[in-house]
Amino acid sequence: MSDPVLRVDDLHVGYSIGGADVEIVSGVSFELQRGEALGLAGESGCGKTTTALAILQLLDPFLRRLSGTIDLTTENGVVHIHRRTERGMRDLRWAEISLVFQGALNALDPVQRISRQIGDAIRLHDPEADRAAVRERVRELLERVGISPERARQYPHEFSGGMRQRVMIALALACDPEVIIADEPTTALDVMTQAQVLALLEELRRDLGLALLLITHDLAVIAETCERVAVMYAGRIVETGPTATVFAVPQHPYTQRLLGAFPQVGTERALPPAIPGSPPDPADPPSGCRFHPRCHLAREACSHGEMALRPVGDDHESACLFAPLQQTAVGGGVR
Amino acid sequence: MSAAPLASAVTPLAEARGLEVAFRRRGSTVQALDGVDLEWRQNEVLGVVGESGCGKTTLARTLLGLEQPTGGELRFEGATLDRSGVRTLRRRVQMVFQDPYQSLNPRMRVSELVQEPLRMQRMGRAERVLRAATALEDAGLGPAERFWGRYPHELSGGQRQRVAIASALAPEPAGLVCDEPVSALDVSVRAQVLHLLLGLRRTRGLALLLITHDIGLAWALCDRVAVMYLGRVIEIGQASDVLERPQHPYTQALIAVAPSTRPRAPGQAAVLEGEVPDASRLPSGCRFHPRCPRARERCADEDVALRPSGAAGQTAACWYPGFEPRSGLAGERRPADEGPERRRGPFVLHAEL
Repeated sequence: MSDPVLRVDDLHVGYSIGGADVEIVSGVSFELQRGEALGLAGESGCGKTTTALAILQLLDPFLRRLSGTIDLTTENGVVHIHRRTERGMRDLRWAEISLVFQGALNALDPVQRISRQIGDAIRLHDPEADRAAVRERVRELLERVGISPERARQYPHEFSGGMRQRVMIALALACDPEVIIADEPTTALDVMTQAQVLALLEELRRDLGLALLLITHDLAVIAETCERVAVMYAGRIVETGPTATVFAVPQHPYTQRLLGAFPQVGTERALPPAIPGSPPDPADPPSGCRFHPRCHLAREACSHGEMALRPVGDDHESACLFAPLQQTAVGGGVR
Repeated sequence: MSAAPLASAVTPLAEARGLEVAFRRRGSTVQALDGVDLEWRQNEVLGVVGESGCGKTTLARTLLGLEQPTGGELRFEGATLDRSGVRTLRRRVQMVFQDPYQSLNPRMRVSELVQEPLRMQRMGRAERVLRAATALEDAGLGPAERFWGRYPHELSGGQRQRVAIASALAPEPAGLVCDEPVSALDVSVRAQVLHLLLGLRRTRGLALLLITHDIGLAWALCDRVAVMYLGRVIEIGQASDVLERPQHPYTQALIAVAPSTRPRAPGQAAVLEGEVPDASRLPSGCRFHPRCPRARERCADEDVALRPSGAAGQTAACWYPGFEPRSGLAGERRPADEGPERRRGPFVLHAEL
């Protein structure tokens, strides 16, 4: 059943300062299967967005891929993204991998009609397309994302936040990509609108067989959309597995506490236990398990050596020395 | 949930009756608050939830004396607000904003930031310093000398929010209005700040008004919850009643769409179609009726006020209130040819959401 469309192996991303490497992403590996939705979860600064930008080779100029490989399976065989030049990447972006950003207002050109912006994306990869064909495709895309084609000639500011995010998704679909990377696609939206946009992404994935890499700090959004989840902390994946399993029986103390930070109606009415301290400085990461200075389970052994992901269940891996964990620590907060 | 029944016996901290705030915008008037009835009791944590544009923030600003009511009544500690009343109010109620990266002046040191509100009250230096140091330590930034001379950029996000909380505490308020106090913070730091706020409620006897779009947060933190829609409170009551057995169809929709980390049965999520109407063109009758699955003729014609419904102390502004289990909320599947563009449609079920 394994049919990865995207495979990231031991990816390290960072910058050099005074001869030393500072790693933002520090050995991340995962596979995205065809048609699958994978959630990459973690708080700001954990390296999840950097991972996404490294896949697209859209890293900030001061950041670079230090090592690791990124392979994309296309109709024409496997493409080694890590060996591609900027020119070579242009053929892949939008056509094979698209990106949906958080703030659609910033990603869309405010002075171009949306028909023009989507049309440009189509023409970029199919310069031969005639006007009628492009117009027809724009109509089709807008309908696909639930926008009336009559609005094609409007400007981004004439759309609400949720509608703009739909335009952004139409743009991402323009060249029939295999993979969509969505970075906090609903974070700036209201709950109602968020639910509508998530439902749309889900529908598209099912109908078009897209693979979706969903990046967000909001575990609930991942629970609603993704089959599998990878939880990142301080540049590393600390736990990965099927979403339902990971959320029901989390096997890393960080995942446990993170889940506790999203109280749910109907559960015990209590404040989640707090995680002390704040995430580490990438220039000076803790030794051993990077979570150990903040971990309620930490012991001496946690501060030495490398913590690799180990199997703890069916397709379920944790980087905690003490996994499998007892499942008492999730609730149990105070009020 | 200990304090609430006792607190209702004493005068509320703030009380709004038919409160209105209107803004003029290019000739037309936007009724941001249109008849808000609300009681914020002493020492209670009151949650205000709703979509953006529902008037949550205007309500908060009015309670702080930053907006002038254009109608209705706002009483503070039992007294109607006049000019001098607003002054007292501004001292007795303080605000914690969403984003500590924006709410703190980057050129001021922690010591200045926390003393600033006291300086406004023309308090003497000695007392000011003492109060500021106490406030910092109460906000979990102790010993105060360690943080005294620092600038905001030298602090982490959680520490900045603690500085913001300390400067709100310095004037020794009776109530703290918190507008999305943790949504800009790192997920792992959120719980720390929430623990701090609840702790302050206990140790300083503070009342908290928590404005949030996060239903789960309201559930975990609040004694009572008020749900707002288009400038009005449409349901209010004990948090456990309002969030577990909501009587108003809008509250039910709001809770149903809140993403959850717990698995839900297929068909439990109902998506409310369309968007909140423009506050300058309010619908007739019940303002929720164009999006409401229960709407009947009466709803389009007659406006409805908060009426007792559900548990004791629970009220809802609905002609046909009542709790329906979530699965019964959505009446129909979305027909394939009708996109979400169709405004003000009924509830629509996305079975596999």
